[in-house]
Amino acid sequence: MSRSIAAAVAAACTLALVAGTSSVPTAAAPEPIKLAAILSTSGPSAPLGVPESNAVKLAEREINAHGGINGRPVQFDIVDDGAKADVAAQLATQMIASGHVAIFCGTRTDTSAAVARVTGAANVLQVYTTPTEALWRTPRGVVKNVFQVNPRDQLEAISLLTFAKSRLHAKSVAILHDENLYGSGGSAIATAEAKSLGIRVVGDESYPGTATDFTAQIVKLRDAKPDAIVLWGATTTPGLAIKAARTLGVTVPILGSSGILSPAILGVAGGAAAGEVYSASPLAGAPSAEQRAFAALWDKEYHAPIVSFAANGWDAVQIIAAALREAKGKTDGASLASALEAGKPMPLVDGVFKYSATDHNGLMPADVHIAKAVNGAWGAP
Amino acid sequence: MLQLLIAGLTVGSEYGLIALRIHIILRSTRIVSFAQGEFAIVGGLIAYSAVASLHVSVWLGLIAATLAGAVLGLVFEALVLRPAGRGGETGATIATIGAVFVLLYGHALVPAWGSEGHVLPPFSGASAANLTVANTVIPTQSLWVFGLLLLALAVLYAFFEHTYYGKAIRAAADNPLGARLSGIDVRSARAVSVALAIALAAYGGTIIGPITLVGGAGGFALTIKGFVAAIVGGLESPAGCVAGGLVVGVLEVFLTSRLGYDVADPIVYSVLLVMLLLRPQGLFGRRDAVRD
Repeated sequence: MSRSIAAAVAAACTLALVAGTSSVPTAAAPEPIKLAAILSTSGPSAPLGVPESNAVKLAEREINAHGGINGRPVQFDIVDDGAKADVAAQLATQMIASGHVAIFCGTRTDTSAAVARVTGAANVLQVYTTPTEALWRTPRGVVKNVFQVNPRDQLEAISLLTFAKSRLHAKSVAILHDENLYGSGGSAIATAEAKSLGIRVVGDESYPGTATDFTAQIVKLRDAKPDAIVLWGATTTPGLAIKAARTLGVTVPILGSSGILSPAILGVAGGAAAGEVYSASPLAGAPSAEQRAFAALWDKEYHAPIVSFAANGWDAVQIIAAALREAKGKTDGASLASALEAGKPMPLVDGVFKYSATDHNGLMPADVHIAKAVNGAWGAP
Repeated sequence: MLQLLIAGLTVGSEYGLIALRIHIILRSTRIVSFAQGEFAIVGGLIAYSAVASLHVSVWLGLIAATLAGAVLGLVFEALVLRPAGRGGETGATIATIGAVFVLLYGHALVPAWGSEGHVLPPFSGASAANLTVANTVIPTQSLWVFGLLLLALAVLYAFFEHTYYGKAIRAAADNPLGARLSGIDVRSARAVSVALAIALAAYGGTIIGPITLVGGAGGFALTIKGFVAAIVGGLESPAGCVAGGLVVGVLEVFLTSRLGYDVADPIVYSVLLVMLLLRPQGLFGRRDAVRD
């Protein structure tokens, strides 16, 4: 018996030794491509940043489940900038120093702009998901390494004001906007588009991002008797503005930028009491094949309907992935940017992106549709 | 015009309550507390949790927040003000600035709260109609804010003027040595004062919550407006603090209406400097109440 046991143990050890020193080479796991997402998952922009972050996680998993990029898995490190531009810039510096070859930043215009200064100096590709095109279209020309993954302000303004004129028969509008870069920029673009459509702008008022009382602004706009109010802001503050407007007896339609396109904001606005509110979104209207596919994936993972910010996050990852595939092994910002500028159409959730050397937005007015608030949820008008 | 006045008084009520809390803590501890706005935020969030998670009425939420605020106040006095106060009033004041950031970032870590604002139901219910008088809409919640502010003032007045313990607290604040010699526990008196102030903060954060949302990062800005209100009304006078808040609220809304927010806000803050230069005792304070 003891001899049998000894023989069995010797055989097992021999097998283990042979396996351990086998001359058949084992393949080393390919090194992951390190990518960074600097998003506002806390602070006032959390209703935007959290779905973006969840979409990034989902997209990362899907890409790796389908073999990664050029045979390499992707590794997305998601960090929170707390809606602070200086923190976002510091995080970008750290991410680039630790080998991240592309950055998705981010949720807000100010954080995206702060990171753009870092990625520009470091020749790193950056994609961002706010409608402000000034980050890539500057007076000095197109910024090579920065790409927008959202219908830009002008497309939203064209869509909203064309709808106001053709469907709501508005001849005049008043504008209420956040005083920050996003709101002020959007207000200026909306004013220009209104004028080009022959719509009079009868008032323009701003509010701080932390505002809780809007009486002064809304009374002035109400007294100007506009046919509609254009609201340009994001986070929950526009919801309070809508609620205040309805409390003060303003009944005209309110057309908001995509920054208000979240169910949380309608909740703040009073749900059904928010009245006639519209927003601009690529997700309104009959869903495309890409939107249906993403909605199914999202629902399977998070058991919830998609929101526009989730679509933005998903598309941001797909665009970075496309750039890496097309660049065929190169990861510097200029090469990735050139790969995107080659103009290969990318049908994604927000629309068909077709970038060029002069257009780092890639979307058209036809990609933006109007959504209407119905009983506290966003739907078709 | 009347619409702007209503809005100004509503906003001013919040500033007045903050100013009153600053007065209570300053009077009893000689410490300027910068954390009043953050305690109001936390109080509102406690009420929100009571309503959203325990499904109680917003009135019970108000009571829960006020009681929780009192407990927080005792903890704040024991763990922050008293130890920091041993090193002098300046050190203690700086410690309250630290408390601002602990509360600001700390409350966002609570999973049910996060960093965004939350909706608190109106006190009269979501379907209650607002009052309309002479083409002016008076939101029902604004009426509750005015009424509950007056109630708080009345209770505080009765407590400090007509109860033994309230008078003992005032004695301990005015003359700690004399109070000790009279058998008053000065340390307890200070703790109760701070507890009252923080309970009032939670109370204030809850009653304004249905209008402004509860939560978020606006606490410090509110505290500064509360300071402006206290200086305008008179830091040594409780009624002056409240009146100062109403004046600042109305001024802010009218200036925003005429000049826009970006011009109005700096003007409101500069009123603080003007008052300190021209009338440091405030509109309703006594000149001999000005201290070095």
